[in-house]
Amino acid sequence: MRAKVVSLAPSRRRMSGGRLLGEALSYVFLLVTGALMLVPLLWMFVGGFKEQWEIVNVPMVWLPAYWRWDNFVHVITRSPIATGFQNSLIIVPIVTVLQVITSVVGGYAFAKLRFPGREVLFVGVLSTLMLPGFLIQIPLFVVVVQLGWLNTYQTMIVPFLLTPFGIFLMRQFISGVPTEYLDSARIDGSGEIALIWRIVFPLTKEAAAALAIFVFISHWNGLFWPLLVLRQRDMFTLPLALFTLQGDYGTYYHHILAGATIAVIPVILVYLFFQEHIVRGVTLTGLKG
Amino acid sequence: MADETRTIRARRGLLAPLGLYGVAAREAALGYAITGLVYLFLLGFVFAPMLLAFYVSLTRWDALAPLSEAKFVGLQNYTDLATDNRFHWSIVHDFEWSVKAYIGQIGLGLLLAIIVTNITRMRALARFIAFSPFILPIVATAIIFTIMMDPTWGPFNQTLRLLGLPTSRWLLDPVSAMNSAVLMIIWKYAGYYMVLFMTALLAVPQEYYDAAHIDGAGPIQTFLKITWPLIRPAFLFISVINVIGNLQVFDSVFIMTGGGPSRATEVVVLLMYNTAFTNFRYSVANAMAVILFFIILALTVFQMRVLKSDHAG
Repeated sequence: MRAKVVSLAPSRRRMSGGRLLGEALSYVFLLVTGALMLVPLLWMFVGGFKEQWEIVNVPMVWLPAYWRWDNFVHVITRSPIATGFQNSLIIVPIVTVLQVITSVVGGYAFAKLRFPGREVLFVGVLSTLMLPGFLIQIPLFVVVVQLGWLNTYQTMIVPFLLTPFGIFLMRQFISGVPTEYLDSARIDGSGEIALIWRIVFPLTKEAAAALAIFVFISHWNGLFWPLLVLRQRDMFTLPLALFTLQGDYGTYYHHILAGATIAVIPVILVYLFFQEHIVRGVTLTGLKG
Repeated sequence: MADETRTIRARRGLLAPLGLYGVAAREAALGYAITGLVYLFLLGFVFAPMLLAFYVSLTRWDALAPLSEAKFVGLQNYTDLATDNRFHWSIVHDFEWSVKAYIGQIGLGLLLAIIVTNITRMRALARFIAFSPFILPIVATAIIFTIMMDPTWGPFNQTLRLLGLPTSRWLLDPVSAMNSAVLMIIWKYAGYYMVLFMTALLAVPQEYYDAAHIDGAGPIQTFLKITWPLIRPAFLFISVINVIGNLQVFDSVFIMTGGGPSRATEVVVLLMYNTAFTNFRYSVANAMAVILFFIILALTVFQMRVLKSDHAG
């Protein structure tokens, strides 16, 4: 698999009258679609500042008469959202960093270290790539129970230390690193760890960043596994805390929307800053869905 | 230092039968050490759970008692599921979900990709907006849509009323609940598929389009004769991923409808979850997992065949 960069260079086609009309229609279509895509998000942001009656009123109240920051204060101090935020902030970066490290090291072994049986062993890893998550996670729940790991950080971290997908992705990119670089560094007396850190990693940084983004987003947003193994509120991750908030607060929509806003804001901020990286990363890792 | 030479000598001795000595033996030893750790991990967290799922599916067990108390019942769970209407319906709902989500996500994604690659300005902005729902937590987006779909005061129905269009009971009506949940998932993923298709579309060499233009080909002809054959492999690949993902749907349905109303949206993984953790028929849930696994596997193999024959042709 080769890296493809989405080029945004303007089209070189010449513009005829018909094409101009087509382009105008395209913009109209995109404008409508874009607006429809943004409306739910804007509605959530604004809703987080409303009073309850302003959300359920007929006819619709577009903007709150008074922007209630209280909603956010209430949700942060009285609901599991703040704890969830904190837990996610501990768990997700650890999973991301460790999984990138194991993927680079594992990918390096399968791409560059010469040993008999390497290809067969790699096919063995590949064969687990397409296994659906639920088939692993439902029985893994029992393993976690037997280990006494319910409601712990390690149950959110250890099973994801390594993934066949991460190893597969990094192997594809590390294969492109010239073996001569590695051999000449070895002759200069470089150890294997130094080799990975000084040569392999800098040359495959982009793929590693893509993997990191992919891991971060999927673990920051994931619900299924936390739902199975985290049963105590003080251990909840952010998605689980938000889900609980919906159950607890019933019709207090302004509080639910404030909670959703708190969950969404960090992702939006990361997206604003790393937009190019994220889009490219998702394209690279696209095959994982 | 002395230790190190000893281990090196030991390794050399160990790998000598494979014809590996000195530096090559050291490299191979490291290779085996790393792959050994990888396999140890996979054994514990992938292979063992999978085997456990197969084994448990042949027993009667609630996951609360020790595993040793699991009673072996052979294929009983499978034969029970074969006549279980609720399970059959969950498979039907799974396919209904997948087909509808496929049409919406792939259809809208491809349409947007074609349009966005053909406009000259504001491509980056269009991509930025369309892609943003994808990165948000699904819990948040599912909750937003659930609230917006309230039949009485929700903005969906209020807008429809304003436009003089018929309203809907959205998630509260068994007839419309599935479509309503699918609507959210299309909204969330259309931009994602747009980005994937844009990569494929932008890989088509501009010269081909120029040549077609000179030959006087119209846009539809150009698409069918040039774009489509070239993006077809990518299209099939994206299709496989889409179907695999959609057949495993859980989060959105769990949050938006909980499988209701009247079980109209109960998909397989949701039923699996409830069977295991609400009804404590854990072994039956594992049998469902195994069945869904084989359904997905069969569909994947089928689609890969199509993909391969496409390469050959």
